[in-house]
Amino acid sequence: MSKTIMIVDDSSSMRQVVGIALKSAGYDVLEGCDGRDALAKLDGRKVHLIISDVNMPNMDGITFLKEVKKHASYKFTPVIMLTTESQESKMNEGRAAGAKAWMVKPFKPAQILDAVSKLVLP
Amino acid sequence: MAVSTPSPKPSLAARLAVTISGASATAAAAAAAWGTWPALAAAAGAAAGCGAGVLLAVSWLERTDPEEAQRLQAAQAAADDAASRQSDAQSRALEVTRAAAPILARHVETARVQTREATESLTGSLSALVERLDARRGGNDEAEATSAINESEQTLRPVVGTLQSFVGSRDALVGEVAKLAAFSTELKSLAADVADIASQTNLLALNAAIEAARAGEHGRGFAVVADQVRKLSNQSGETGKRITAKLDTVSGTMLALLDSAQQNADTDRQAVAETRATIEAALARLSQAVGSLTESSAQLRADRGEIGMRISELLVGFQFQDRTSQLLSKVTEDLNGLAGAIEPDALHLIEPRRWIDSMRAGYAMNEQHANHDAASGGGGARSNAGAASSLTFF
Repeated sequence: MSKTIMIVDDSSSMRQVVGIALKSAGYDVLEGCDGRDALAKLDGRKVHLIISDVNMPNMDGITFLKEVKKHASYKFTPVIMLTTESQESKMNEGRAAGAKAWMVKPFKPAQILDAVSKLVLP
Repeated sequence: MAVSTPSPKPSLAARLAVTISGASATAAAAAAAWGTWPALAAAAGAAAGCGAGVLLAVSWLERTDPEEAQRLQAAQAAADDAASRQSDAQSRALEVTRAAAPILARHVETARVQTREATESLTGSLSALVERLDARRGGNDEAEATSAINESEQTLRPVVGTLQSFVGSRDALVGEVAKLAAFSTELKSLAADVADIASQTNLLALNAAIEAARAGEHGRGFAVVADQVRKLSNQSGETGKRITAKLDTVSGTMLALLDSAQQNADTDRQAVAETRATIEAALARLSQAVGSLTESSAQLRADRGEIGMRISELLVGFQFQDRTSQLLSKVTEDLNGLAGAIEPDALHLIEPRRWIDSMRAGYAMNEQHANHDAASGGGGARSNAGAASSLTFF
């Protein structure tokens, strides 16, 4: 059974670019267009890893990350933050909220696949 | 970023400073000539930026040196004029900025939205293409072809078998007919035996007739019997001959039948062999076709993979849109903020340094910091700091 990875980004082109990279490696992809939408889609289904943007409307990535960590079914789901945000303070916020990795855009597919394979749940 | 606040020309400010300092220099020079008090008054007036000191000096000079008083008044008038022109230029500049900033913000926003929409539509179609290519890559053309050829083989091979068994059963039939032909030969020899017995009986009847004649009157009855026996033996001989003739006809027909059956069997065997050869040739050609199909579909698959990979690589480049969009959003936000900050009601509250710093606080990307530093002439050390490591594990 292939593993499911959730991509949360308000830019549909980013979701597609990341999605293509993940699908080519055999992962199933679930998309959320912001934190709120993504949270609504975490309805108990198995998600093996989450990749989330930081700056998003409705619910930003850090708030979303905190919500995920409070969720009984997903608190152990690893989260990679993929963002244009390179400020040390934001990165520390992400680390404190429980993110597993911080990746600054633009990303290279090989790099993201490597990070995913290291962190994805068995 | 091409947006800049139209500022008063430096030359205007410089001219103003020169004019003021010129006026105060003139007043100071005059005071040095006539005494300390008017000089102090003029200098104080010039430093205060108002004409009060000059007026004092003028009223004093009018009494002592009317010519110098006139020069001082002219200098003050020039300074006032320059100051009013500066204030006028500043208010015009503010007005232009107030009007232009929201317009520029809208233009930037339009550009951002259009870029985003165009990129999204492009990435959308490219992603769809990659997915279709991937789906085709999963398709198994040669497996389909191979199963088709196996099916053909399974359908065609039994045809040859059926033809062969048909020929075989006909051969068995011919074998039965050949056995019948052998029986008819046996029957012919039996018929010959009948004819032989008839001929012997005839001879016996003749001898009996001779012996009856020799017996004279006593053998008369016996002579009659001998004559009947001879007639019967003649009839038997005729029957034997007729049986032989009939058997000849029957066996002739059977042989002709066997002959023709034999001939047909040969033709059939040949036909079956030919059919089998044709089917096998067709299957071989089909197999060959599948072989080349497999080869070309493998090539196609490789090509599809290559194209898919290239499009995926291309897609990665579209990440610029996300960055550009964030950059432009921030520009729009700052332009709107600027327009608000320089509204006449708010203008006295603005603190330029703090405003510029608050602009920086909203930056997410290294490029923004680098641009900010480069344009404001400060720092620059932050540019691209941290960009080298774009992945950090916690």
